[in-house]
Amino acid sequence: MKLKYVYTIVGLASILYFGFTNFTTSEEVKTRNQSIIIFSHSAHDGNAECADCHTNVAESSNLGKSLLPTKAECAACHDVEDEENCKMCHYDGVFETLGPKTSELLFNHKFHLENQSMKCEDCHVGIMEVNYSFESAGANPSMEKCFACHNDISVATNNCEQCHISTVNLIPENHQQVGFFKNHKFNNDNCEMCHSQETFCEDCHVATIGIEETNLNNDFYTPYSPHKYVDGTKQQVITRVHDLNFRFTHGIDAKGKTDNCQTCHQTETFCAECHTSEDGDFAMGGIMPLSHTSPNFVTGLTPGSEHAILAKRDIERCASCHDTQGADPNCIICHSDPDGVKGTNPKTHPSSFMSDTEGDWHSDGASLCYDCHSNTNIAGVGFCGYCHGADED
Amino acid sequence: MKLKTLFYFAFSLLIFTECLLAQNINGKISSSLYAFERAQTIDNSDMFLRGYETLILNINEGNYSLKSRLNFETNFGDALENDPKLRFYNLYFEARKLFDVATLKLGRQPIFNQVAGGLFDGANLKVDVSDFTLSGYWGGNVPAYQKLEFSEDLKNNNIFGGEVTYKGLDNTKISLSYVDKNFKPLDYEAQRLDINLNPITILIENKSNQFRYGSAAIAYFGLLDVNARVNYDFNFMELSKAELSGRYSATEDLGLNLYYNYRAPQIRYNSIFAVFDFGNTSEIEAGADYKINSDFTVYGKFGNVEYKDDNSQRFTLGVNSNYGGLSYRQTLGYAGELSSISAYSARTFLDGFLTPSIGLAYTNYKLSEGDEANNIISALAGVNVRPWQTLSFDLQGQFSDNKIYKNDLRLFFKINYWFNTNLDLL
Repeated sequence: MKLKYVYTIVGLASILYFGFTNFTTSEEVKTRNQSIIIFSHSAHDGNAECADCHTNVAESSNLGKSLLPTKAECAACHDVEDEENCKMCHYDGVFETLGPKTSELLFNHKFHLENQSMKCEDCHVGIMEVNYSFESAGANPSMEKCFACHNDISVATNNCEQCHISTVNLIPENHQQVGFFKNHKFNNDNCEMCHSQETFCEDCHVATIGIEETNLNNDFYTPYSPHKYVDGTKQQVITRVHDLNFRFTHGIDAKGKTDNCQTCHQTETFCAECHTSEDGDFAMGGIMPLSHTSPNFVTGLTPGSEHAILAKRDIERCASCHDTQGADPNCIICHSDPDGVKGTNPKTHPSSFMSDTEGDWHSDGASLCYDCHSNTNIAGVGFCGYCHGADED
Repeated sequence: MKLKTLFYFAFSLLIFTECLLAQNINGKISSSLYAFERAQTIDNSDMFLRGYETLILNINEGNYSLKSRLNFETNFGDALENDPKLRFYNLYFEARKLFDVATLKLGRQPIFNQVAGGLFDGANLKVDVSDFTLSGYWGGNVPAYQKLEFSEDLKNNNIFGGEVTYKGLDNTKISLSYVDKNFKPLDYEAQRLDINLNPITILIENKSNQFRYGSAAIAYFGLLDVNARVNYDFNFMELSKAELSGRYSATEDLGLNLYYNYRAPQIRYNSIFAVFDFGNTSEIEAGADYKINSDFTVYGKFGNVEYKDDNSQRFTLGVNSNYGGLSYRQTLGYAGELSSISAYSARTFLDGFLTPSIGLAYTNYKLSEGDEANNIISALAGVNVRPWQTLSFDLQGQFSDNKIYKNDLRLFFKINYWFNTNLDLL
């Protein structure tokens, strides 16, 4: 059996194991105490302070131990020996101890109360207006609340590991929505709460932005942080922005406009360096699209040879290889104006191209036009003669 | 030159002052080793072992911060050209709540928009006035490989722009923005004919004006989220892009998404490709996601891209969970044919001490209709060990099997350490 099939089988088995052993029963936990005890926070409002019942919170340094009141705390005010009044708090025959909520957070109540002089209601908002804590939307603080201090610019770190036991499942619900990848650019007001702008955005949006920057085998890119990729495999410790397969399949995403490559890449240097490379890191022994091998690719019947059809369809693709730096692009071999006579060379411009524009070719010798046209500066001659007759003043 | 000297002096002074008064220092240090194979020709490859040291360091005092991120990398064994590299990704001073309304960033900092993704060396000022936020930025392009140098030719290699955002309407954001990105293409000499058809050598010096976009965007958030954006190209004086994205929360668990994108090719103004006769693309994508329970969300989407005389389609089906995901992706038509299935899962044991992860992907693709079909298998298995909150170790093996890299195994090892210290000196 081939080695790769062994990897595949072992891998699939592992994924199934992880996936199916991760199920939680958080919904059950959330409502369990409601069926054990009859209780109302709002009924206690004004009659007791939080610490009167939650006596161990002030000394609590983690959430592993239950912070719920025990019978002893209730007994401070309630006559728990009075069997006539059991039903005020207890359901018939139900006398279990309260089940503590499980938490995947690390939190030190003692530190925040003592060192930061915080009050219970700073974080637990609206809890005294409901019966059970889970009935209040603000019973537990949102991450925005934590971010007020845990922001890397005031007193506390914004590192996930400071508060989260596991970083595996820190995926907000909206990140799992189908349009998130395309929509995140529109609604990005709150990213910094989890993603440091200096590190996270740049993981995807730094790339190669220098016109002189190439990315051949001497320019390996830097690994960053965990990411989820196009093909779904999340690479835990090395970020290449794109996954391992991408070098082979990126042409499909580029042609399909799945992403906008130019958001990050200076295509004039980034693409061309590999696609015209003689000795770089390449994958096809001379990376030329199959279309280029067609006999009709360069020259063909009017209204256009095959390359013209492809160029009209997706000129970004042409530019990604042929818009080279420091040399003529090979279009100029044919698409230039050596004789200065209009209409004798392959058609380059769309109809009426810049016909109503006072173009920069009039005032600037470095105009792009002079890459192909000769600047004669004489009416009636060459490029200038296209518009200005010889009899002009 | 004088301006540059003045900038260096001022910036050094800011750094010195900030360090002197620092009350909070935080950051991350990571050391990585990556062992991998790299094909030099179709049947010749070399093995590499490369090391990376990354430092993120933030120094804070009240509303003032100095933020930095840099990376040192080198090869073990055969030294490569340009090695070692020291990349400065960020080095900027940030002042918040200036006059209670403004934030100023000065130095090498991130910037994100459609043609200026990445970094720039300069200033960024954001001002909040009532329901309006105004921001403006100006600076030089970052030299290749993020060297700690200022652009030698700031006049031709710069970026500037700004944005006005209005949030005075409930659940609505309206913004107008402008970006102007300039970089000088490399000059070169080329053969041309003079008016007598004699060959002459001329110097081609194209100008640095490349991209100038204005953008108007509106976003509404509610039961129906709508985002729309229009980009106008001030160089070509035409619409460059129109995007519309809508999400409707049909029920608490079901969301429907629709995306439309009309797009002109993004060709720089001073490129010969800007003068050709080319077409635009329009794309429509529809998708849905359904939350089965608190653990699982299924999603699917279908997209169609129309070119001048062709089209391509893509669709994706998948399951997301908090502990991994499974997805199938298919592309058809002009873009090429691709079928890919991938799965990933991870789980944390022992209160964060141990987090193994594993991922698998199988891809079959044809770059174009007449091309040969190829297969790729890639897999990864890794573990994160976190003995302390601030220190963790990552080890990951990556396996790839494709037409070039047969049974390619790669190994990555990383040590991560983060810190946060309140000095309380003042």
